[in-house]
Amino acid sequence: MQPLNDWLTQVKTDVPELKDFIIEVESFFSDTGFNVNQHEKALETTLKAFKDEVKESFKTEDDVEDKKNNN
Amino acid sequence: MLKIKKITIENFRGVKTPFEIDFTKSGDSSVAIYGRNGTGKSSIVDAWEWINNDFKIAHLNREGVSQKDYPHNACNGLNCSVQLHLQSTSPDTLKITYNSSKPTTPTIVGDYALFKSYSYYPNYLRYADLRDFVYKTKKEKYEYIARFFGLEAYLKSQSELQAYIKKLELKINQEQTGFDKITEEIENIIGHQSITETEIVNYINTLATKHGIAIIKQFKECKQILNKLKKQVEENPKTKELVEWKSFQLKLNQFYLVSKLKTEAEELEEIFEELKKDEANFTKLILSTLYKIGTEIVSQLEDKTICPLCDNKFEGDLLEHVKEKHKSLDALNKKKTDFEKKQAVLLKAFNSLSKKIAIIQSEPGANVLVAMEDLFNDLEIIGLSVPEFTEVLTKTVTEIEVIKLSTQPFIDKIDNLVENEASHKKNVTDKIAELESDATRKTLADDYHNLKQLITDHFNYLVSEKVLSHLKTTKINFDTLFNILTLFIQNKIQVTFGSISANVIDYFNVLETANPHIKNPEIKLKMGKDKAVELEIEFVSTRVTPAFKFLSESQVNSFGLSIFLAAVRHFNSKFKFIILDDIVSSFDAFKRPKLIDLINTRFNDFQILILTHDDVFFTELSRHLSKWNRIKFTGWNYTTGPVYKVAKNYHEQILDAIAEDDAETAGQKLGKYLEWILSEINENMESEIRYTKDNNYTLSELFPAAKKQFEKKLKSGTKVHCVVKLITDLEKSSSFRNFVVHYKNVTVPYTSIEIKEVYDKWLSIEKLIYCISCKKFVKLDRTTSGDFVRCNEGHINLLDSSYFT
Repeated sequence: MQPLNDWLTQVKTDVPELKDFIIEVESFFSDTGFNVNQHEKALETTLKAFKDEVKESFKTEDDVEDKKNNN
Repeated sequence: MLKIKKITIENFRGVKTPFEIDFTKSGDSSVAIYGRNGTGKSSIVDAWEWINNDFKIAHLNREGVSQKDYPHNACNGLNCSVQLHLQSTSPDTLKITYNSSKPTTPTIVGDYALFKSYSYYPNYLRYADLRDFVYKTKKEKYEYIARFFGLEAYLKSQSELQAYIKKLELKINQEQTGFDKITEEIENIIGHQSITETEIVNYINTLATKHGIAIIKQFKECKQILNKLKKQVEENPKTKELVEWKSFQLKLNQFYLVSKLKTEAEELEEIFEELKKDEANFTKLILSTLYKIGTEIVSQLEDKTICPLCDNKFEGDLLEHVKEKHKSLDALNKKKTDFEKKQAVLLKAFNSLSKKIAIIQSEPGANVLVAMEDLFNDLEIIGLSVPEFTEVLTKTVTEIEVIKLSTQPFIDKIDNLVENEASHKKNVTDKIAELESDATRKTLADDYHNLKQLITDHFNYLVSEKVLSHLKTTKINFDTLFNILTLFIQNKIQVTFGSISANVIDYFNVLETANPHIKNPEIKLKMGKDKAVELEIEFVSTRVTPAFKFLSESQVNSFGLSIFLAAVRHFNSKFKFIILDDIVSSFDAFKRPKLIDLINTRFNDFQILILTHDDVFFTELSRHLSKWNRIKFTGWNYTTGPVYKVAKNYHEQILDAIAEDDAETAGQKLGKYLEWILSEINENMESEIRYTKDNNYTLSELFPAAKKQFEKKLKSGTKVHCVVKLITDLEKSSSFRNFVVHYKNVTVPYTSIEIKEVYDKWLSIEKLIYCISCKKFVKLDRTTSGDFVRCNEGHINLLDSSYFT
């Protein structure tokens, strides 16, 4: 039986629309299965980053200037 | 092709001194071991599983037996090993020795990787495996079969993905609930159902205009308006106070619901006190399962006074004693579980309370602090005390000396908070109503409060929108991947089953020839179900699903065994070796010969190790597969392991008795042998036989019937068939006539020389009518072109002219 990761590589070719997603998650697959805990942690990090992203988008030039002055 | 020459087991499970299974000793390379239960047979399969299954024994693991318990009790973990002598490999030995300092990693001498590359799929089958197969659910059968077909990693990923997708779904639902709440709040504030940055900016600008503040173009400039509005609020102390109260009202509403905890704390203490008195029995809790199994086992024992564990006699009612022990430990276990549950409930309440207190204490207005001083003082005491008492909720009973929780002042304060919820809320509402009596003040406070809320909500809205979108996309992708994986596994199962199905059907049909209405089994994947297979069968020319509708337990076992045998043949194509442990126990008695027939006709090219406690099956095996090496376990000894001897077949027993000039034993053995052989020959030849009321046929009936039928069927004009000639010669010999009449009556003696003469003459007949290839006697084969006397595979055709003289 082919290793699981070889199968994922095959899916990338067979289903191109999943290629980017598989590249994102293939490191969580091994011959012992899918590592849920690791993926959960990575997902939490991604979700937290959205908060920073929105915070960043709300910054005005004045905010940036204030930060500079404070430093 | 890998072949086993010898397996040597030492100090493993029930085997103490080195026990050797030699596959080269006899003419065939297979071995049968007979032994009653408890003589150490299963230790052999355990040893084989240990070296094949990642140094674990699954059924022992399930029963809580750890790898540390694999060595024989008396060896202290030393010299516990399984050694294989192999053919056609270099090196030709592989020794795996238990490592007491690291039981999961044994010491290996030899090329283990090479061995595993041959012995890839499980080639051992226990009675329990077959029995379990019958009772497995559709889902479990799917997992069992998928594992058999080498899809374990795929199957594991499938299960993990399925669980993870459900988790993601839950997360999405939670996030969606939060998102909907924020959306509703924003819609209420701005008075629109479509939330866009333009709508929000328009609303903010309306507020700005109302309070004489310059408008903005982008949302990110909203803080300018908020700051200016804040300034207007702070310029008016009453408005500032109103804003403080409104902000506090929001926090207070979020703080409640809080539950009373005094009763919970008292119950926890009460159970703790009871458990503490019984603490000495905690170490015995692991025995609860043992006593539970004990009640089932003892009730099945013939002698209910001997303990099955220590073999000592018990004075009194052993069953009642075991039941009582189980009852008391079970009650203690339930109490302990109850205590742990109550600990968890309180811990959760404490953690939740700590978070809520932190929120309500943050940024309180000066006016609120003064007016609600008592409440804030209580919250401070609770906030400081909770962490101190959280520790006791994470410890075990043994670790805790005493619990004094219910009498703590902070517990009373929590209960007071709950009791005063309505009163606190009313105070706040009244204060707000009083301050809102001035309409201008109310408008300014509302607008400031709404704008502040809108800014927070809009931020959370945008974050939540992104989170939701990401989670949904992730879930959709995992769904797609899961579906592809499921299809892949199902397809693999179907394709693999397709490639072995011919053999499965063939083996099943051999085992079930007695029931011609049931045949041609198939494995069907349940469509529309993610993980399920159904067994299908042909019943009176109709396909039936599930097969259980018409299959008995024994027939389902035939199905399971057929799948196992076909899978081993398919997957371990370069290592034709199988261990069958007591599987005959799961079959109806009439199926024993069918199983032998299956082994004989379909697994001639395999090395087989059969273990059985069924002496009838062992005798049948000895008769039909006379060249197998046979070992009899006659008992078990703690200091050595199985007590055994080599079991001899009829030929060996007859020749041994002749060699020892023991004519009586030789005659009795030969007589029994001939009766058995002639019964089979007469059945094959469809001979007519004189009926006996007691259905007990001896040589006096069997031999003439066979002779008459051979004479009738092996005719060619005036020529004489050599088989008929040899049978006639035998019949005419005085030794044979004397033997036939007197072999059961030892008062009339015969000599060893006479027995040897009869035996030799018979062997010369047997040589002509027994096919060494299909291992069967010839039979009468009636066809449209006439009758034949030949073997199944056509190696012998007795009507061939070469047999006539």
